Amino acid sequence: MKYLRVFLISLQSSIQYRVNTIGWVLVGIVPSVSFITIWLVALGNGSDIGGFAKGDFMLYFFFGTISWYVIGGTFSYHEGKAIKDGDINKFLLRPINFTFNFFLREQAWKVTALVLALPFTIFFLILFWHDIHLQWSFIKIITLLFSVLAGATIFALLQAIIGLSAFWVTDIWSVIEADDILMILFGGRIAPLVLMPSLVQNIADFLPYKYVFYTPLMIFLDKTSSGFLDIQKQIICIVVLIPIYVLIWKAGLRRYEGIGI
Amino acid sequence: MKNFLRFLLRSYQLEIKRLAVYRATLIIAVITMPMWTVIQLLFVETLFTQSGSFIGYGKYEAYLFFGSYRIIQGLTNLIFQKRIFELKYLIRGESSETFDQAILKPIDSQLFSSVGRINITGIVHLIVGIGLIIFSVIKGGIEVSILQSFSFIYTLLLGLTLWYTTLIFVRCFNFWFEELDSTDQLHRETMALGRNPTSIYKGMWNILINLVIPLTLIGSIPADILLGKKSPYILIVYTGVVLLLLYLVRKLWLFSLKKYSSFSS
Repeated sequence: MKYLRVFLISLQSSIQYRVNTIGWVLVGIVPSVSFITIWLVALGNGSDIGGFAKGDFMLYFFFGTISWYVIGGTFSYHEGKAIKDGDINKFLLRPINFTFNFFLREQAWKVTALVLALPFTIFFLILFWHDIHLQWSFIKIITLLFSVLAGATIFALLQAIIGLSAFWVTDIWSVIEADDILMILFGGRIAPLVLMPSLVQNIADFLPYKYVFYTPLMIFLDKTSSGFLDIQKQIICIVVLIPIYVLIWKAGLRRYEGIGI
Repeated sequence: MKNFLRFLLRSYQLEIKRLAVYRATLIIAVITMPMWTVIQLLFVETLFTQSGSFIGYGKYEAYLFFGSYRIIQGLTNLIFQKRIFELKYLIRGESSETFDQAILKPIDSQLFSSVGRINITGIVHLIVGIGLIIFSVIKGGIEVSILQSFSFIYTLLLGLTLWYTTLIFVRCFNFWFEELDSTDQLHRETMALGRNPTSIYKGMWNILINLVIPLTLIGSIPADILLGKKSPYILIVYTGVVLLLLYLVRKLWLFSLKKYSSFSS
């Protein structure tokens, strides 16, 4: 019940400041339109680049942006700021999980952003209806749902770990920046990973970033050989990240000195 | 003018002292900032590996777009980005400093709100950008005349002015909307459109992005000037456009000031 309250209060806040949320939606859409334009120009009159046709590029980048409002949602900065400012004290004294509180607030914002992104999505689908070719099946829908859930969990764990680095570093922006760079480089945000140099692809296989947005997108576009294998890899990422988070949280608490507690 | 110069000198003296205390910020910037350029170069590599050439541009010519963009971004960070970024907190009353000072001091409010802070990462961007330009010219065997060089520098200055103009434009919205954090990132993403070749935009987007609000002055037009793909005389038109935009934004700033309500007076 207490977490529902946190979610509802955050939802009210994000609805109240909806102009800001529309701004954030545009922040996602502008670069995706830019990437789509560039790749379509590169494609020219060709049928495909690396197995990606015109419709695939469109879907990849546009739904890569929309997937942010389902899978993504950054809260590491707020978590880190709470540690730095001492706001963490009130969470240590209350029966509410520190990380989960920030995670929930971000989910509320994502719901609002998803609703506001709906008109853009409908407009996109109507405009490019003839270029989009997707096959649907019950297995694919179930696989995609599980993959999206797993990707969201991996992303949340990464955000939690990054935020907790504030126990050790004075400037959390640098850690967030490094995480963003790795996500863009190895998460398939600038181009499908299969089109990138093999070194990048090989490194991406061993990092969790590929399994956040890229894996669900590949399942969505029917570009994967086995969705079940991909989900297994995502589960392995989750199994590895959870104990890392727990260890960092405990080590951070031992190090933390709060005024007044 | 004398007051403004005195304010500028004191502000930068304070800023240098602040930088000397927080040295780690520069160290971290030196490590992480060039990575953004690495990502962009990797994107170019991927594009050219898959497609060979890109609407008449070779790989090293494409590097010039990013080099120009980085130089302008570096200069904005060094001169006005940080101060204008903090302005929204002053307007909202979330800072120890308030926007009242901008109105009450005998200095133009727009100038006061634009300069006085340094984002040290600008030095890194500047060095990376200049390095990329030099590397591209040498590796790509690009011949550059003296006229092209001076025109290139002038175009960078025009791009810098445009960046400032658009930044003040988005900041004016903070006078009208209480909670508006997305404008900074939205501005950054929109300016990044200027890195793309001018010919990529068709129809009304071509007119909007290349002429009305010439975002391509940030990246691709300086590169085209350096490559000799555009005549330097086109800068006469762009100068007029940028000056007009500067005038209009000035009017918007003065109009937006009327919306400001102080928290402490």
